[in-house]
Amino acid sequence: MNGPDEPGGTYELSVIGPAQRRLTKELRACNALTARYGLMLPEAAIGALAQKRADALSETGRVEFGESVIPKLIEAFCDSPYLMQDEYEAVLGELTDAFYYFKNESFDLLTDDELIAAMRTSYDESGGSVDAVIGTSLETLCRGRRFGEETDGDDG
Amino acid sequence: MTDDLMPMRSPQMRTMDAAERKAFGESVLALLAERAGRYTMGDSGSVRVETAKRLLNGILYCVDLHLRAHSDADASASSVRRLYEAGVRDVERLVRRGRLLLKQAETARPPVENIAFRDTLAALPAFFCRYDAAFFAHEIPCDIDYPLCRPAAETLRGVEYVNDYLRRLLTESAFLRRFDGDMLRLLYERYYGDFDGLPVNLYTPAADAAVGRALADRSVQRLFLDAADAAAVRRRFAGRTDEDGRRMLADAAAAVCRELSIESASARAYLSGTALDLLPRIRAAGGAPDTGGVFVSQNDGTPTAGTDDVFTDGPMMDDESLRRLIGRLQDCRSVSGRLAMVRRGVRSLRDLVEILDAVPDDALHAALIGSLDRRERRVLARLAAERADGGETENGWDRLILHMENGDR
Repeated sequence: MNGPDEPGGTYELSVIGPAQRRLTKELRACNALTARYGLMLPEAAIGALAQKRADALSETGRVEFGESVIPKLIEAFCDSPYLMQDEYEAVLGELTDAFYYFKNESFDLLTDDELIAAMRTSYDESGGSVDAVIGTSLETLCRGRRFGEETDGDDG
Repeated sequence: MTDDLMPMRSPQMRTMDAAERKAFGESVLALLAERAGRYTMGDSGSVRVETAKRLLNGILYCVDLHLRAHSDADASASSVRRLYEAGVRDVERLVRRGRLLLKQAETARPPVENIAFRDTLAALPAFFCRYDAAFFAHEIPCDIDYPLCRPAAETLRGVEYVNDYLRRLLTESAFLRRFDGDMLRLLYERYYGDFDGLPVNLYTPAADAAVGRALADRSVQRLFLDAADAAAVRRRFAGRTDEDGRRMLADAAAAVCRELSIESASARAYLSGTALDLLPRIRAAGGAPDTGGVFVSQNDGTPTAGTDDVFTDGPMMDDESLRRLIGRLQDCRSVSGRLAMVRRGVRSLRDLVEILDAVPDDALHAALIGSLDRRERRVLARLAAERADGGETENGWDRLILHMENGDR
């Protein structure tokens, strides 16, 4: 989408700029929540994650309106016993990639909250392996959803 | 300046300066974010780019529709939401109008139909079920296969396109209902061959024939021209300027309307426009004894011995014009629109072959081949057979014409 007064420029410039500033603020606020689990994002990591989100959206061909998903991922994963400070930023980056990828893979049939919950379950069950999140159990879950299969044991 | 966020057809947009346009675009984006949230029902903070574009186009369409209908409407950035909501209400009114048009089209059917006509009328109710005025008002969620003689404008979208299509369809059906079904069936068989199976228009042969009869000063109730009629038409056009030709065709269309008691101004204009399209075809036919296949003759349509031998191709287009036409055909989305472009621009089978090769679309191929007369089809089939014999791989139209010709024999 091009901007109204920027020949050849993209509208993302005017959308992503404010969105990144808002995300930066949100990520700083998240540090207050995650500090109790020994997890902190330094300023450099905050900037890198904001950029990571923009790249991931672009690579997966998605547009995000309003609040970013990264604070939701932080909130969902921060109490996982497998998430350590030394890999915190890298794991968040990969989970962000995986989130948008699986949104597409599931043809948007999974809500954000459902997908994040499935990712968290998979992450814990595999002993904190992001590879496992991306590779196996979540794909199975997405496939089930895509073809309208019930994945909730209570319903099935 | 790009205008992806502006409803460009609205006259109000043209008077906006850069700052106003920027503010308007930002208001549209804010509304887009809200509509995306409504679309996902708050379950997802992100959507695919394609979905965002569809949502954006839906908003712009509604805003544009309202601005076009209300030239005094406030088009400032602060009014974007109001314009959008008013546009949705406008769209809903058009949908109600469209449902009535469809009911009329289903009731006032022509005496003879073909598969494309029946399929399209059967598909149109689905449009009104699937059409989403609130989110995707610019889309046309159904298949419209039946080509009109004079297609609805490509610039129209959503329910505006469908309503215009239905109005044109009703005009054509009302005209055809003035003729006997058996005579129409015979006309179509001679004009198209397999008119039932091909996606061909049913109004054009009847309108052309009626205008031809009027040009020959004959009653238009019968739809065939004999050799004397063709000669009379040829004499009328011989040595006359294009302006004279257009006037004669318009007069002939008016005579048809008088004889058939067609009072509606839109129906008269529709026939007049159809008649004017005959001019280049009559000119291209030159002195051919039967007016070069422009009109259907009274014989049984069986080619006489040596008919193929006397086939004379029309004038070819220059390369640049042909390239431009092919480009437009590739951009155009409707078969009827593309068929009309070819009918207007192409006078030579050699050009037609270039187009068939360059635009690989089965529906277009079927429509184009269906619009040829038997002699032209036979020449085209011979060319396809020669290409096959020469080791060239058969493509879609090669196979189709060979199948049709072999099936006809």
